[in-house]
Amino acid sequence: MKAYIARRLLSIIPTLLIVGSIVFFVMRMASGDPATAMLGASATAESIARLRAQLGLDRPLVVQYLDFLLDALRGDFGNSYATGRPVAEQIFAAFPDTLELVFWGMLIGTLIGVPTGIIAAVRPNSIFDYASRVVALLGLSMPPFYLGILLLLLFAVKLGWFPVISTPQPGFFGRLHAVFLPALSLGLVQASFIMRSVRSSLLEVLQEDYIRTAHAKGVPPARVHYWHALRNALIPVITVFGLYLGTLLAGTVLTETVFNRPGMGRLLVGAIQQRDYPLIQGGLMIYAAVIVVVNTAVDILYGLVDPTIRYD
Amino acid sequence: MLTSKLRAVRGAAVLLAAVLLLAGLSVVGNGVAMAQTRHVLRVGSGVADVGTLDPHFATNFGEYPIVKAIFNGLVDLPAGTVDIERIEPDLAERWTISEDGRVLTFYLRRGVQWHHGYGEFTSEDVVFSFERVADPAVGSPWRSEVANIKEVRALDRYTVQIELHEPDPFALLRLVGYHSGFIVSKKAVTELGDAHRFNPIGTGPFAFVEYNPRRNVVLKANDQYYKGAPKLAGIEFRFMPDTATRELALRTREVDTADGDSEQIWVDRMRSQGIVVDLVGPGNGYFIQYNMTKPPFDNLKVRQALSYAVNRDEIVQYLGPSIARPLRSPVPAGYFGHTTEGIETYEYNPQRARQLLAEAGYPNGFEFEIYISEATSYLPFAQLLQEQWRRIGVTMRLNVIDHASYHARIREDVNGVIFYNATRLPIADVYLSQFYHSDAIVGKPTAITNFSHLGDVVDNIDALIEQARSELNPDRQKELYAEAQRRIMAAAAAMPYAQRYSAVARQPYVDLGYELVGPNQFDNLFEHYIYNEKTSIQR
Repeated sequence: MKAYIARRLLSIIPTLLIVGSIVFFVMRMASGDPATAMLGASATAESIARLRAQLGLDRPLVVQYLDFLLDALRGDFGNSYATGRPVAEQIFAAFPDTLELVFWGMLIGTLIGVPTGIIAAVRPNSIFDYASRVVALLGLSMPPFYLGILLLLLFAVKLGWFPVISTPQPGFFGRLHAVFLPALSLGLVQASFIMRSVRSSLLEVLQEDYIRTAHAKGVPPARVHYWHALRNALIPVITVFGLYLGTLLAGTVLTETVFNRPGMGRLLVGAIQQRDYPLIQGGLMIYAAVIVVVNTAVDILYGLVDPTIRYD
Repeated sequence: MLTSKLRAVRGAAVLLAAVLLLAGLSVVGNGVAMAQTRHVLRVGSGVADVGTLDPHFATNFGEYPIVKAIFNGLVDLPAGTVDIERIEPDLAERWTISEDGRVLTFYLRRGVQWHHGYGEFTSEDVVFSFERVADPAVGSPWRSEVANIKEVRALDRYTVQIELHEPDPFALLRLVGYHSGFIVSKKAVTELGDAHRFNPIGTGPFAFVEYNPRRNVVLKANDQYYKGAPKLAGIEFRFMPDTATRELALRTREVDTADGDSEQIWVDRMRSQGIVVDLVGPGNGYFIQYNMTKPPFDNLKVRQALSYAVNRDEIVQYLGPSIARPLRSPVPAGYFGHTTEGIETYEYNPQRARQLLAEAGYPNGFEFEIYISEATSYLPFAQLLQEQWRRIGVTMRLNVIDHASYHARIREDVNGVIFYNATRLPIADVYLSQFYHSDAIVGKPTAITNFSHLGDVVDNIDALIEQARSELNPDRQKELYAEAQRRIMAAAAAMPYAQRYSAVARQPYVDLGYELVGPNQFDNLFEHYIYNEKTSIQR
């Protein structure tokens, strides 16, 4: 088990280098130039060329790439072109806000999605089942930022319960107050995904022979559903949790813009518009690291939920 | 059948939701607690972040109003106007201009203090500032604006002399607190080095307090300000790139002013909710340039045909009548030197367009493809012209790319038709030099934004632009500018079609401290509100 975890964690390094390399070349293949973006439309070609030289962008691509690789191996993402500040510093300043949003979004999604999925599966084709499926379909079709604007209109403008600007405020409750609406808009969409996974997975398990056997030998239905069935149904659900993290992180990009939170999503969008190569590379590598770590954690969780799984 | 465990799960969820909700409610209203006589003004700035607060590097749309509140120039425009006839003293109390127009002597205000204890403002700072902008090693994007300055000399602690290469009737305008004209502290810039980028030290009504990336910039009142202590306690510029969020935050009074959306429907909606919307200019000029090196646009008749097929009224209708008006000259209306007199303006005439196309050898029209930015100030205009040109049989296929890529592609000279819009210092010289002088042709080391190749392949108006630049007689100067505009349109190098103002909005309780001149005049150079020592919140 320990060897397995160590192996998985070590695999982060090549994964990150591959992600970094892809980002490096894709950004340079896309036209657009950091120096032009920084100097504005009135700058002459000469001053743009001078800035490109200062940034080292006039060197051969291979040299730039090797430089990037060596620095990345040392854990140095360089300085942002646009602000001149270290990329690592900017990412670490922005990341907690995004993690906070993702955490609460996932929690709200789980708290709504899992119970709804269970009830829908235990009572298939009931009114509750149909209703929850229709709502889930709405949730799946609705982009989180649009839902965000609707939530803002209701809770911030009409009712005045929450601020429009969800920038984190000092103190635990200040943070919670600010994160609630953005997390709800992410969480509601997330709940639709989770609800559908839980429902279909549980429905399948409930058809199994051992469930019929459990019913036949007189185990109370609640124990059958929530002990025997749910535990087994959760295995595929845990897998998709890891996968949903990517969707959730992607969702934060627009959610942070609509709710005006200064997190990673906004940092990266700005960086891409400005062609701030070091910041884009660093940011996306961190995202990749988080996704790898979480998926490793998910694999480990399998073992806990399903004792038949062994890690060698 | 709901079991007890399920109830427990549901109960926990409901409980958590209730806790979250109560937590939220308990802190509602915190924002109101800071009621004082002097308020902090909260500005909803339409940018995601700023890249610098150093005035000699600030180019981003959101950086100007912040820099303007912190720094001063030697001279300034009267607040709320771009009235170039009424330039006012600022850090300079008065000035004299030599008879040949080449030497300007400024007598500086005494006792002006730099923020945060950086000492007294003196002539040394003025010399340092202009030398800094002009130094190629420093790399200020505004270097070309001081190209005409030969030397800046400190005659004594409070007197500065600026010598020009050529006489320039707009020398004072180029020295106002705008881009290259801002004066920085020699001591602060030298001591802080790179850190000055986010620790700006100015002399203005507001001093820098803090910058939080992607969140805000906080300024506090400079009570020692030489024009008097500000009426506001400070200003918080909040970065809010999303228009819908800015609108909602303005409605809930989480911000007091906000950058708006320059669309009629937005302006009407905000006004119907009791919010004041001001339209500020000088206004963005919208135009296309034809790349005269690329067939079929190398054919004058083709360019004329396309220009005659542009229906300006339809475009203005799309933008909204109070936001925009038709533009008929290469220099936008309101800029010194603008004229439409004696100019071929290519009024909408589809019959003439078809006839010219036939004469050019394209009786059935033709097809071409261009790159176009996805930005809302580009794509919709390309789509409008696409439809208008379709009516004369010309098909323009649009290859939509992101904004940064678009700017890179058009500088690589790939488009046959280039869509552009720009606001510049409101004198004809800047527009003409950047868009129509042959030095500015893309591909050259001196390139700026001449995409038509006017000057190399068709006509050349360089001499006119240069002569006008140093012509001290305003009437003669206007004649030279008019001639330049006539020749650009005669060559059909460009087709100007619209001019659009920027919408900015505020709660009625915000008193700017000056009057914004109506939308048919110049309002301010910044396309934002400018906040000064007289700005206040009347609540």
